[in-house]
Amino acid sequence: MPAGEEELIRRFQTGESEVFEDLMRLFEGKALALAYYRTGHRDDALDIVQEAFIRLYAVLPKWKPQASLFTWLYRVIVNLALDRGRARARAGEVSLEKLPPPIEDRPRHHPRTRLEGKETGERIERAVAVLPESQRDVFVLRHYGGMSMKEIAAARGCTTGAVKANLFQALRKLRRELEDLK
Amino acid sequence: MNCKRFQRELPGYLYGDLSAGERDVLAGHAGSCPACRRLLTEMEETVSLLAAEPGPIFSGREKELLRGRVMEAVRELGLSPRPLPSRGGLKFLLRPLLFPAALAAAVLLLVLFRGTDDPSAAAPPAAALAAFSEEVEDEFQLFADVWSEIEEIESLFSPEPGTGSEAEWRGGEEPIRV
Repeated sequence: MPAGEEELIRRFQTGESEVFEDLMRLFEGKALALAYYRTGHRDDALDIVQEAFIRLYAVLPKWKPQASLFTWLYRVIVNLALDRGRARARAGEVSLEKLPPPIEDRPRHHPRTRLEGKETGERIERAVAVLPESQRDVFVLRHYGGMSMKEIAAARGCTTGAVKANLFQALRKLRRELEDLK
Repeated sequence: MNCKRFQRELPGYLYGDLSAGERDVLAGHAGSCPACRRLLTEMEETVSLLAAEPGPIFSGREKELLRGRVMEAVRELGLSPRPLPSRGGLKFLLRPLLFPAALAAAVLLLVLFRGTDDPSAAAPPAAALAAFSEEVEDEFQLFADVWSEIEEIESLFSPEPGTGSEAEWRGGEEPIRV
């Protein structure tokens, strides 16, 4: 459990509702990154994390600090993202992850200078988005969420060995996809 | 250390999750294995490239608005940080076996604590007892009337004779008892 989380939960449960903002600050970065890479839409990510936080507020009074709250949040965000994905699919929309990666449409050897700034960021986003789900989640939580392998394993309900393997595969694929940017 | 284990521990090495001792072991293997050394160099370059880009950026303003919307929603929903009392509250008193006893106890308490403005409170003990027993009798009569009304209402929901069992009539569910 991250430092400070247990104390914030305890204070919340004794009636200090305002500490919930601190709890949100603790999780919002990784929650938004996860929701964004699960849906491929910024607005969906914001909506999903908002809904997840509201649900968290509702369960927190009876929360027993046996695991990190993010373990619970991870499940809620993944489920909400799946619901959102199904709704978008029904509406005939396509998410970021379903789009063919633009890297396929471009020449392999762009001069570095033309790929700086926003374009590099977009290339990375696309490369991350097309990773298999388990590799993508692990990479996003470690790289953007700053979670340890052990925390990721707890959140995903798998072993640290599986996390390491997924992270290694994710990095290897990203290296291949982004080779020309180095 | 072999190459397989090197690959397994490499992400931990790249993200600084390993202890100093574990890092030394990995670095030692990379020093003696050209393939793993090349892999390490390539992976380090990749992680550096990825780290140079901040990833999906949600501005401080977006996050602030998000927190604001959450707090507004929980206020509108009337959510409380304190645990709510156990579900049901005093509803257990309405259970079939407890309801008559609870009602009788309530009536008795009502009679006993009516206050001193009652003229009978100032009466001598024998007269007070007679007045009390009369009141209790009235209250129990009231209770009996209420109970018979409940039974009458219950009978309205009973199945008609010859239309199958009560469970069938209620769609297979357990019959509801008042």
